[in-house]
Amino acid sequence: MSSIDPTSDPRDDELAERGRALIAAAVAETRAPLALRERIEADRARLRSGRRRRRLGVLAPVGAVLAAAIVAVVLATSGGPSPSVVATAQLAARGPVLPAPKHDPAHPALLKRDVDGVPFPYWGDAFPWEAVGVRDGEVEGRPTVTVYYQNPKGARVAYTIVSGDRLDPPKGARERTVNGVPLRILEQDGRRIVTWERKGRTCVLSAPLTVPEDKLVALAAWKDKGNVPF
Amino acid sequence: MRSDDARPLDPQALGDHVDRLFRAAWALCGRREDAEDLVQDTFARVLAKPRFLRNDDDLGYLLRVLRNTFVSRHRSAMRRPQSVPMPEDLEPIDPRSSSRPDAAYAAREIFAHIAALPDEFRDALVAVDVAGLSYAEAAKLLGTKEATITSRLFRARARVARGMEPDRQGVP
Repeated sequence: MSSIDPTSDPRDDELAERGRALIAAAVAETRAPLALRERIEADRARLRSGRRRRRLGVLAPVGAVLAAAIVAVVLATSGGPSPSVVATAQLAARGPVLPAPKHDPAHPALLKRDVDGVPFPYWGDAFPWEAVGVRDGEVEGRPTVTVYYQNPKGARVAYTIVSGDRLDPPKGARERTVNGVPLRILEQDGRRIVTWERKGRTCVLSAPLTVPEDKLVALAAWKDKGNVPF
Repeated sequence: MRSDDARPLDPQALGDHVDRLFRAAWALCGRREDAEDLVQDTFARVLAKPRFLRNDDDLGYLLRVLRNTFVSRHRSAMRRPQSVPMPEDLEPIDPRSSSRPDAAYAAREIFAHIAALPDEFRDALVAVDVAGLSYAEAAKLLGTKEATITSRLFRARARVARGMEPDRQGVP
């Protein structure tokens, strides 16, 4: 004997079949974008090179003189230990000493200031954050440039680009991908620090914890439809 | 710890599953942009260290990681203060992942409706109809019985169709 479910819709069979067909059509029509495949491949290549570096490190205690020589060569060619992302953020927290770089009218998403060809973004049109100053610095021998941006409420973020090869990511940082950009996030000394790469250069964005993480990562990963080079 | 019959997951073969994972991610997140980030995070997690599987079900493994990554991201997002959408979030249809704009629009609507389903319905539908697992594989993935998968699928499909009816468009 069958019971009647008062909540059932007499059209359920028909609806289920139509739903199955709609979903099948959507699935057949949808492919992963090429940009996503490229990003995954780039991540894979980066991880491969990281593993190679770690393997060299493992050789040191085992391979005695030869391995030590290899490590020495690697260190010599890479310029020694990397300055840390945290040190970069601490330097940036000191505040600006020069006027803000100008907006680049030829490239509306950019400022007229760059590090190794990596320009700083102009956020004024898309977000209420305007560049208010700049500081040139140096962290363990590497030149850095920090542009400071401020919103109408007076909150300030520091955006630093470090010259030279990318820095090692900070230990204990959380990973998060936004707008296709792999980011590392950590909180230290009352500041939230986000670090990522643009064209092989390390970028560090830091702000007081009062600036929400979602806001900070959205600024970091802002591409303006490709007008900000990554 | 790995057992003797475990085999390494081949990173080179993972590319074969990107399309399925992307669709599954879109159906979980409801937004194409979030789906791209979720798939990228999933691959980053899987590739971070060598993985060993005891069976040939690479896709099932990847879907499990995808779902776990989605759940942990969702929990983290719930803990963070909610923010208003950025201008870039308000872009209209992006046809990059489809060959026809009208089909891209329909796909976007359908994935949004799937994402808005109750979790157990959504997960069953994503596993079977979107990712292409068998009922048995889906039951194993979701830790339930095949009969349960069958019943959840039936209801989920009906809800999606009902949501796509003209007088209910835009009400996932």
